[in-house]
Amino acid sequence: MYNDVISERFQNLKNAGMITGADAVGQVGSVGSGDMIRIYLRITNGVIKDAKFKTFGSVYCLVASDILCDMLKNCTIENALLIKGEAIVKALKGLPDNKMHIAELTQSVVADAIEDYHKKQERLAKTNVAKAKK
Amino acid sequence: MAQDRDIYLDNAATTYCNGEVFYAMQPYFISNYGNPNSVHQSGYAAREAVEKARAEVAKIINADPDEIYFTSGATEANNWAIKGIVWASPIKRVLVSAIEHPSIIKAARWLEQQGVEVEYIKVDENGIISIPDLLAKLSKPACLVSVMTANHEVGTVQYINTIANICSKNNVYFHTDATQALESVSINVKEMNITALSLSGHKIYGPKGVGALYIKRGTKIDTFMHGGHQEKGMRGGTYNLPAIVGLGKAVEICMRDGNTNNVRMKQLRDYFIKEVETKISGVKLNGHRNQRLSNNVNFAFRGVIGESITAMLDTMGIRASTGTASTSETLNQSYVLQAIGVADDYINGSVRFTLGRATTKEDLDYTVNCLITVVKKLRTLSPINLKVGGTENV
Repeated sequence: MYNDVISERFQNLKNAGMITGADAVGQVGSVGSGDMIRIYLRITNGVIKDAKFKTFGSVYCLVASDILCDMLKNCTIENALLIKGEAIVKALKGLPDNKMHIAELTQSVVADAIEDYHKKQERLAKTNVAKAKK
Repeated sequence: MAQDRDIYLDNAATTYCNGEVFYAMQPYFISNYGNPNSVHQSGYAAREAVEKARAEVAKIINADPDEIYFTSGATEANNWAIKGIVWASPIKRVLVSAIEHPSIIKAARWLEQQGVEVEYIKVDENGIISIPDLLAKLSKPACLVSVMTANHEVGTVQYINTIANICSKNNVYFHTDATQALESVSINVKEMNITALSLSGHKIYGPKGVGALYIKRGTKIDTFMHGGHQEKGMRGGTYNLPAIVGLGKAVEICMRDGNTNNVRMKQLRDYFIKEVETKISGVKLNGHRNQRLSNNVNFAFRGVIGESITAMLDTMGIRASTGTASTSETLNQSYVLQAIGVADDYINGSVRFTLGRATTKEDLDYTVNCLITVVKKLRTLSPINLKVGGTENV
């Protein structure tokens, strides 16, 4: 049922877990829809140094999340946004038609995380300015 | 984990073919291969075998042999029953339960497209048909009510006798799909006033590709499969002789060993349910606790996806299912679980374990241990907060 890449990876997920005090957290999907991905990123000088995930979903979704984290590591936040769903599909050696939405989820979870990163940076900048004024 | 294990807990999808059945079928492939319709010695011998099988099938539901029609399986029998009765009736209104097998639900939807009025009878949270809803829906004339004897996913056994009696009082035909129930539930079509009943070979340790439809004598039903004059012209197509012989034998064994098997299976089922419920938290038993098939266990695990559980169990040598084989390939949630109102965070985490004649207590102990590991692992991967009431064992 699952191809060799997927079944092998599913048994050896490398990036499962969370990062406490992550610089960015992204989340997409819902429990009701049956697929939910959350990623945690550690970012230094605009480069993603570490990526972890927690996923509620099918085997495909878990493996896609794991592969996504691999791709994100050592990637600049600019380039991270360029990781397309097709790249995930390619790395998985294909997805069944009814699981194609997972590729889109991986793309949007990165966008969500980067947005979170910018918001956090903005907040940080504001508090720094406030501190400086004092 | 032991990779050499092969624990088959998907007996509601299909069963192995019993050895006695297999050997009973064998001669009908090689030596006694005549066409039951031929008018010579080969044909007569084949005809005799078909009629012997027909008598066995009739016996298990207390029908008369001439009320049994062989089909290619329960899907054909279900399609024939629902379409054939509607076609033959001037009343174009049908009531089916919301949790029927796809061969009823999809046939009903097709009939809707043809202008037939179809209504879906509600079920409660245990999967039991709502009698008040049935009665309300019967206030308008209908030609047929179809309610399965037992559900394929959650294993709930219906109060068929009550439903059949209500239908009979209202002069409405009653069809029941007994595919999953033949071994576990005793059915008496005469006493219960059942108009039509579908059954299948490969769920009762018989061969695949054969089933039967019981049609009460005098029932108005149209032909579904046009062809030769087999089955009194009601079902065309050359007899699937070896499979029909196999079905007869499988039914014979059900009648002979059914009680023993059911007692044993029920003990194993209840043991498995108790083990899982005490050792894993955030678990919900889908379906009715007592009014269920003796081999069916369907659990929902909070915060995880059933498909991932079965995939991991498969690598450990355990074959289970997320529901029906025909529905789990799609992304859609189980319509059965939706109909019985399973909550969102549980609905995707449902796994069906269906025990069989070969299942042992040791198999189940191993399965429970694997299940603990799998659910624990998947829950650590899950972003959903799993703080459920009580202590968290897993």
